[in-house]
Formats: sequence, C-alpha cells, structure tokens
Amino acid sequence: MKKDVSREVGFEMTREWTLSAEHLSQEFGSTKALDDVTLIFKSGEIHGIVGHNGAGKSTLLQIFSGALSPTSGGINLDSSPISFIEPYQAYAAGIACVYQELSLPINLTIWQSLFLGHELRKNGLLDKKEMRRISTTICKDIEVDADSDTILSNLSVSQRQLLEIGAAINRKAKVILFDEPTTALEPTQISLLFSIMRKLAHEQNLIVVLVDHRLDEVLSVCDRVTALADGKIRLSGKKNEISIGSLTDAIIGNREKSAGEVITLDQTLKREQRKKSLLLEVRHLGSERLHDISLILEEGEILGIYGLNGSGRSRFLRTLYGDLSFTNGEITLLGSNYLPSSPHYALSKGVAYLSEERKKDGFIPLLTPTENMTLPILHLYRRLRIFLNHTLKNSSALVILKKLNVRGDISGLITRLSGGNQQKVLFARSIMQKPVLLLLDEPTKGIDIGAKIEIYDLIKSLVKSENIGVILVSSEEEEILSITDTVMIFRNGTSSGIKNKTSELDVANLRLLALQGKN
Amino acid sequence: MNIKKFLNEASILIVWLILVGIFSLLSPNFFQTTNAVVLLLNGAIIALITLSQSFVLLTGGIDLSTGAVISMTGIVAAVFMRSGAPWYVAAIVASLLGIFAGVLNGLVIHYAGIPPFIVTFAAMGVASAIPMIITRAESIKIADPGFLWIGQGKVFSIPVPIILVVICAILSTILLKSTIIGTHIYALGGNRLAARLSGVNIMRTTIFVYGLSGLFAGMAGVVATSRLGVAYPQTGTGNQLFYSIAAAVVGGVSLFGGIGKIRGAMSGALLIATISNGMNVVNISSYWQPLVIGLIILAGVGFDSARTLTKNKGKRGRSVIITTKIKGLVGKSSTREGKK
Repeated sequence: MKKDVSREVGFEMTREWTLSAEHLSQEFGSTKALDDVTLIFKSGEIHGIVGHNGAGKSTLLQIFSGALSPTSGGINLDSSPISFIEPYQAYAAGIACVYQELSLPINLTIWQSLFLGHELRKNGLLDKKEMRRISTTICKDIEVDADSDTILSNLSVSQRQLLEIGAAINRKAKVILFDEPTTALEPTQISLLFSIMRKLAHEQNLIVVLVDHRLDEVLSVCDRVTALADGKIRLSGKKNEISIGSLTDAIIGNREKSAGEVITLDQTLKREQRKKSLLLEVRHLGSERLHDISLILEEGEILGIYGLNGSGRSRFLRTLYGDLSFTNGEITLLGSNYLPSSPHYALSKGVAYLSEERKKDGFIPLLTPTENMTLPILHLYRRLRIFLNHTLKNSSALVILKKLNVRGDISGLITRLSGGNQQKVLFARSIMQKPVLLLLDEPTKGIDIGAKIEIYDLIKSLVKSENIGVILVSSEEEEILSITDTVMIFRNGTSSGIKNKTSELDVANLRLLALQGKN
Repeated sequence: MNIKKFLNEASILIVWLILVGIFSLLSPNFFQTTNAVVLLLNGAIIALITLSQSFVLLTGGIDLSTGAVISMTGIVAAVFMRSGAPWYVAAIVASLLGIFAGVLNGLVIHYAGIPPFIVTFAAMGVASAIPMIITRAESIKIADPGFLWIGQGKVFSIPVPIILVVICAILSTILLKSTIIGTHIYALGGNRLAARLSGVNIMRTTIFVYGLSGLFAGMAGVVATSRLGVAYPQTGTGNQLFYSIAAAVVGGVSLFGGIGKIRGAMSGALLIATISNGMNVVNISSYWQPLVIGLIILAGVGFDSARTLTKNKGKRGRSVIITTKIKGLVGKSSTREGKK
C-alpha cells in the first residue's frame, strides 16, 4: 500500500522539481501562527528557515510533516497539490522530518530500526540478509562506523541522530526536514551532519530543509534562506544575496509595531525605590546541561530570564527549586547557604515554583482547587498536630481565591476550571506558601489575555506588598518587558550574568541579545 | 448530580442485595444466622487485606505480596508461641513483621525505582517461601486460648475479628480524610510529578503506604491463623491476593491511583465475601471461584477505565489541540527542555 503511494508520486529524480507552500495560514483561535505564507523549496538545494520563538517555524514544519492541517492554503509537490491528515501520509509521499529528539527505539539493532514498519520479506519470513546489506550501505553513506547488528543503545547520541537521517533515506524520502538538529551535537559532529546534508541535496537532488536559530550555521550550509517573523515571511533569497545584518533585522521583526505595544503597557507603574537587600546569590552554578551561571537578586526585584528554546531557562529554575541537581557552584538565600536537594527542601526555605506545564506537573487533576492550593502547606491547618482542620483550610484558601478573582466551580475538581483559572489557582498556591523567592516558568502560557493581565497585576502587587523576589522565565517578549525590572539572557545553557535594565530594552534588542549573546 | 453520585455508590449494595436474594433462593442454608457469622468472619480477613491493598492502589501502586505476607506472619506467630512466647507478643511480632515486609517493599520501590508490580511480585515469592522453609511445609497447631480469642472470641457477642475490622476501617477513613499523609496519598496517585513539585515527600509517603499495607496483611495473618487454630504455611497463597484486588476495585478504588474511599472498599470486601461464601453454600466447586472473581476484576477494571476514558474524552481531545497550539506558538523544544 505504502509502496503504491510512493510510486504514485514518484518521478524522475534527476530533473528539477519543487515542494511549495501556497498561501498557507494557520490560526489558533485568534492567534495567527502563519499568515499567508508562500514558499518554494527547490530540489538540489538546502533551504534554511530561521526565526524567533513563535515566528511560525515549527508550525510550518508541522504542516509539511502532516502533524497539522493548515487553516487555509495548501502544499504542492512537483506542482500537484497534496494534503495529509496523518503524519504517515507525509512519509508515504516522500516527506520525512528528522526531529531534535531521537525517535528510534534504542533496544533494536541498526538494521531493525532502519527498516522499522517496512521490513523486507522473503517467502513470508524476514529477509535479514538483504536488510543487513542495505543497512551497511546506508551506514557508510551517513558515516556511522558500526556493524548493522549493533544495538542502538550502544551508539552515541550523534550516531543515533545520524541514523534518524538514515531511516529517512531508507524510506526513499525526497524531502528531508530537519528540526534544529544541531542542538545536541559537538562541533565536529555538526560539520559531519552538514556534509551529509550537502551530499543529499547536491548529489542526490533531494530537498533539504533546515530549521535552526543559529544564524552562523544556517548561513554556512544553506543555499537559500527564509526568515519568518510573526507568521509572515520577512526575507527570502539566495544565501549570497543576503547579508547577516538584513537577516537579523528580518528575524527581529517589525520594530515600530513592537515598540508601540510596549509603550502601551503601564510604564507609569514604577515602584517607589526602597532600601533593597540582597535576597539570592548564585555563584558559578553548573550541572550536566548548565554552565557557570551567576546572578544576584534583590528583595522586591522582578528578574526576567529570556532566551531561545533550549537555552536552559527552565532548567535553571528547576535547579533552583531542587527538582534537578547541580554539580558545581553555590547558592546563598537570605545570607545562608542554600542547597536545593528536593522541592520539599526548597519549599521549606520559602521558595515557591510555578511550573511551565500545568497539566504535566502543575496540578493534581483528581483534587479540588482548594486541595491543590493547600497541598504544600497542609501542616498549617492541623489540630492536635494530627488532624486536618478542613474548615480553616477551605476558608483561608477561599480568601485567596476571591482576591485572585478565580471564576468557576471551586468545589469540583480542578480540571473543570478553564485554563486561566487553573493557572490562577496554581499562582494562589504559590502565594499561600508566603515565599521569599518566587520562581515563575511561563506563568501565562496558554491563557487568554484577560487572565494574563490579572496575573501580571498580581505579580506586581505581590512584590510591592511583600518582601519577595521574583524570577520569571518567559518566551514572550512583551511579558518580559511589561513586568520585569531587569532581564538576563540565557544562551546555550549559560548566561553572562549581566543584568539589563528593562526600561532600556525593547522587543527588537531583546531578540537581538538572545540571538547573538552579545550582552 | 447528587442522585447520580448516590446511585454510583449504592450500586454495589444493590448488586449485593440481588446476590443475597439469589443465594437464598438457591440454598435454604444461606440465609441463616450461623452462615451469616461464617460469612462475616471470612469477610473480616478479606476486609483486612482489602484495606492493605486499597492504600497502595490509591498511590497508583499495587501490592502482590499481600497473600504471601498472610502466610508468613501466621507461621511466625505460631513459631513464636511454640517456643514459649506469650500470645500477645506473637501477635505483635507478626504484625511488625508485616510492617517490615511492607517497608522493605517501599524502600526498594522508591530507591531502586523498580515498578511496584515487579518488587511486590518478587516479595510474594520470598514471603511465601519463608513459612515453607521454616516449617518444612508442615502446619503448626495452636492451643493458646489468648491467641485463639483474636479469631474466635466475642465481645458483647460480637466476634472479635469484626470489631477489629470496624476499628481499622474507621482509623483508615480518618487517616485518609483528616491527616496530611492521607491527602498526600491521593496527591501521589493523582499526579506524581505535580505532587513532588508541591513538596509532597514521595519517599515517606511510598514507604508509609507499603508499611501500612504490610501491617494490615500481618493482622490478617494473625486473624486467619487464630480463626483456624492452625498455622498453615499456605494460608494466604490461595485466593487471598485475588480477593484483595477484586474487592478494592469493585469498591471503586481505581487501579490507576488517586480515586477511592474506604467505605467503597469495605462494601467491595462484603460483596466478594458474599460471593465466595454463597458459592460454597450452594455447592459450586471451589475450582470455580477464581474464575468468577477473575471476571469480577475484569468487569470492575473495565468499568474503571471506561469511567476515566469518558471523563477525559472531551478534555483529551481539547488538550491535544491546546498543546499543539502552544507548541505551534512557542516552538517545540521548550517542552523538551524540562524532560531531558
């Protein structure tokens, strides 16, 4: 069946052919992730797609790989329209996507994984001999120096990443999309990856698409580059016609518009300067994926952490909260040594954390909002040191819920509330802990604008009324700019430790800092 | 809404009444005071191991060693008395041994990170072999009247095991409803990751729950041995484990963790005890019992997963859309960052 499909769209691979997007738009509610994107990928070319967080790169990739159906517009393969409802249909049409995360099962051998789902058969049994032979050839092509009977778990991460490409080649893919493939690789492995990409495009006449946010990489390997910002194509052309300056400008987006948005947010709400004391000091923190991070946080300060995906922002917060361990460096909280070994420890020292993914590790779905809120501080509501005083617990939770203006049935399960209200409940949980340090990871992710502004106001009033410091991680520039006092930039698991005054930043130079790390 | 809730909880009692009716029709011996006492005494042991199982199930775990611990603790109590220890010391040692076995389970589950299913499966083997090794597979007769009182005695003409079960059930209810650890047990079963980030001490909760499970199994071992007047090295290796899971699941304790009440679990124990007793009374071969109980577990779990599915159905569809939406907006790797 699959074979038939690929034969259907099969054509002479030697001549020039194209894959194109025609007026693609993708809307999520009121947000336009892609806005009328028309783009042509030519055979024999490596096409780089660059853009900032939320520029639409991933959405575009998801449409091409069949994971999303566009709201309007379509895709043409060699001038004939194609559409996918399921990812396997994209595969069958010859479009393969190599993701940053490894997807092949590590308990299989090389030949088993390369032929997974389309095993060769002879007389009803597996044709191992032929599959081993083909696997050996592919391994040679992708420069993986290993026997085809090697189990994947015995290979290095970069070899496994290369095998993902091998699997795409083996499926006779004509188009291979790479989603930030270099993140986990060493420099030598990156150059190997690039030479394989060149071979695929220039010698075998495939289309290779590289989504990446490292401009130097994109410019070194790609033949053609397209820059996306706010779901629109800002710049597209041959590499040698594009300067790095114009590319950076295109990625950073429309300066005037962004700046205007920032100004509308209340700049007047500057807090009165009061005597600030040192709250948190981190010196040379390092772990498996973080290096040499130092920072200072004062009482009453809201520090924003900004960086691209995978820059270690969330990892840093989770390390501070004791969820992840660190190997180097020291942390001082309120003058005494702070060694976060577990969230339990962090909580006992007055550190509260709001998770980025409220469904995954934020709330407990089988409990009510009140129970969720009071879970970390149940010891405050005991009688005779043993029994829980439910009345006291509920009434004090209710006070906070009311203050936060949580709407919905609060006696039912928390899952009955809307996303914004769930987030407010989790925020209430943090407040109830009366923390000295509040760690917020994307506190307004996936909630509507009304709830967003309410949460901003809450953070601001909290800092005003209590002796508390806040570290906020966000990938939304407007969010960082509207509520923080200072901003630190994270890049590749580290930070220079330099704090920028928020009042001196705008969306454009924030993005620029994250992109170039020159701060 | 409340009527629906009431029916949901009452449905098990309705099934029970129907069963009582059927068994009474099939045999005149069923609806007799003497049989009711036998039913309740057997039911007491089932109720204790159901309590044992329920706490573990609530955290999303399972204890397969429950039955084997019954045998082990019963034999150890008998051996202690044979060597001259007073009956109450024997009973306490047996219960402590149950706790010890459970705590060991909990420690391995937490620190080695091995799934509860595997750990307690191994513990089942170990705990069922120990009494066989100690006694060379022979049973030990018990004569101490004090020990026999636990399983055979009466207070105000109420059998002691039944009093014991009522006390345990009440204490368990209070534990779950009105203590911190009770809330933590539900939280752990509901979302382990979120519970951890909320400051729930996962290690302590896990060990507590398995220790408690061992305690109830140990008590069941003492009661069973005392009731029979003989310690058999294979008392609990028969259908006991089976009964404990069936009763808890039929009583509304979710195999997936986080849902369930002691009240429900106790109704489940009564139902299973009635089925077991009724089948004996109407002379159905005991070989049929595991078959029937097995089907009951399947039906109970089927109902449980159907409930979880329909509950999440609308939401699951929506959450997929939301996550793709978020992914599309902020890029994919932000979600990965946390995982690696």
